[in-house]
Amino acid sequence: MRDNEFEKGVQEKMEEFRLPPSAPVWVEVERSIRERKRRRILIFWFCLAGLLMAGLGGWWFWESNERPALSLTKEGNNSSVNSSTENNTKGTREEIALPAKGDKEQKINAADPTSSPSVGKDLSKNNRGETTTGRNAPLPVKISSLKQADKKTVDRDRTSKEQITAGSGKKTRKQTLPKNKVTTLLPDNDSQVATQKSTTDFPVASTSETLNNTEPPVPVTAKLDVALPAAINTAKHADTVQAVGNEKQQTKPSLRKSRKSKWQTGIVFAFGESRLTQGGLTLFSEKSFDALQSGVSNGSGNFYNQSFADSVPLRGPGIHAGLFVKRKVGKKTSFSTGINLAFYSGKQRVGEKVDSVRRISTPFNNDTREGFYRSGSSANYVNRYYYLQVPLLLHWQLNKGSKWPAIEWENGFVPSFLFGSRALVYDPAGRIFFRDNKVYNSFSLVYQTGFTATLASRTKHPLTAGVYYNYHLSRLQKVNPPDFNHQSSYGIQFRWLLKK
Amino acid sequence: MCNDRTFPGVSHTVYTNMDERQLVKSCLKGKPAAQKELYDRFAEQMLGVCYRYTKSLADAEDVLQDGFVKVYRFLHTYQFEGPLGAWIRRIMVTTALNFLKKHSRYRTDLSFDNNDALHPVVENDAEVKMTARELAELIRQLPTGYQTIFNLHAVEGFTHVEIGSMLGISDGTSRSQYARARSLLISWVEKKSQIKNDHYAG
Repeated sequence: MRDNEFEKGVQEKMEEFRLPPSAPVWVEVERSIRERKRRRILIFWFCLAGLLMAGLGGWWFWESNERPALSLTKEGNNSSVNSSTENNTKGTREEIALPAKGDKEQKINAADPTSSPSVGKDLSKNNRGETTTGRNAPLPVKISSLKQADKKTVDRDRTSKEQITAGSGKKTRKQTLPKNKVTTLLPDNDSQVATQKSTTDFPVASTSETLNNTEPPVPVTAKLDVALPAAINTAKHADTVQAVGNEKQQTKPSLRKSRKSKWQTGIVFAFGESRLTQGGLTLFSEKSFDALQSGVSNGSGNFYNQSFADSVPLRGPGIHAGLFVKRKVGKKTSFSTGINLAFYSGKQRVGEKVDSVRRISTPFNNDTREGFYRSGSSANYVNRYYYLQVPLLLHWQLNKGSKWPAIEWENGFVPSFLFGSRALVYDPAGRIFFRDNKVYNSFSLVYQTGFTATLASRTKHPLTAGVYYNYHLSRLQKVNPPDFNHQSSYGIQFRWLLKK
Repeated sequence: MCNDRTFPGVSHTVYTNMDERQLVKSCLKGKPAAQKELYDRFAEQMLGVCYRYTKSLADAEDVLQDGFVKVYRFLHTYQFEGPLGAWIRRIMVTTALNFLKKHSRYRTDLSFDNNDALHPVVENDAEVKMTARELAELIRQLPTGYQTIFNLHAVEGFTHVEIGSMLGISDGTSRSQYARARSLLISWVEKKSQIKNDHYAG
């Protein structure tokens, strides 16, 4: 049959058959290509932003996990001497265990947790004031300025305030350090005395440590790592003592200063109602759809016309959720930003669906629609709008928040990007509804306000709950804007702080 | 299925393979000029294809638009194994078939009832003495089912087995539908030719 003349003739004719397409076809094709490309770019940036947020969150989480150890040392600064003493004792034990026994060298870490940078003090001196290293041979020791007055102070302190119990290889040392003095002492016959005196306020109460030492009393070199406040370090401690021996000089890692991030991070979730409004911050002033359909006066004696009543949208659920970061910018003010995904919807009363082609002209396009809805009230169509939002909010704390939960008033703007929609556009001339995503503004600026109260503020992850209201200052529909053209939403929001 | 099929209706004499290769590579790089060039090269030809499958020019343009969007979307899968025009034409035909299945106004007409087992066998091979446009218009006058199968078999060159699998019908149904379509079209062509001859004679 393929060899029939008729089929051959048809093929030849159809080969030469060409029709020039109209110009809008290429415009639409090009728009689809660009839109797809733009969507890919948007997805890429969204993923990148998500990864960055995740990385940032992970870093904060790691930081917050690390902080308890640091805060322990910081607490020693004020009153918790026990923790710092424990720390020091542990440090001492570890340091004593490190050197080889043959070296007869003990390194005692008397780091004071209050100091920011540590100052390594390697003192090699016996109890007679002679500098020794190891058992016999004195090592070259550089003692820059260990003043005689200091030595006397040490002796006086030692006789009056130090109780040393030495017996059967176990030595217990108990020190009571006077205010303004840092004194680190070793037992009489076994080690040397290192003295640091400071005139600055330096609240150290007492230090006790137990040394397990089964070695016979031999002259040893005590290596003291003394961490002192910066003021002491700079002014009073030019007398740096350095011991250079067969053992490499060991540097103690300086205590890390506690770095508390100023940013708090958390997640936000809100749900409520959304609807399209006529403009202004009116929420509840619109007449109901049924009232409009039945021709109820709008208050000024005029009746709404039918086409106006057709396009009145109803309420629908509105949800937004995302991540936020927040930091204090004043005593009672704070700033927050983040990234949200928002979903707004609204019901639309429509008539029957007509599944036929209709040419619809808008300034953007003049093409056919395969299906549309007539105006009426026989069915509901849910218009859906999807936004990517970057809220920029200022929070004012309205009360002290000590006795009652802290109440904050938030205000700000939310740049929003419409990345998807599934909604009907109303054509008042033809009184039909049809779908056309091109008529919407892709960017809109939203004003948001709300009140929140912090619940369980003393917990690790406080929860704040409150109400919010947001209003789209930009128009939703840029082509043939209808009367109800400003998206608004209100409801309840929750913020859960992941990291304080 | 039939990915490497070359369509008889596509002429490849205008563009060399090298040109097509460069054009495709430029399109893949996202160059708008190349994309426009690709469209300009094939749009008229492909609209002719789409026109034969649909009932209106607007629908044909819709198919053309969707088809070209698919072309740019899947251009990276083109392996340069056959002519680019044939590959694009294949996409257009598939898009047109999907369009017919999707839209109810075609879907109801695209029924392939197999009740009538007998089908007229046309022995005579009418000579097609009319313009391409006229013939295309006649093909479009056929019921959608006939039209589709006639296009697929007589113009695109698919076998009835292939058509059956494409449309979800048996090859026997495809054969019978084609025979009816062919018979109907021949009668129309003859009628039209007769009218034309009478017109010129008169």
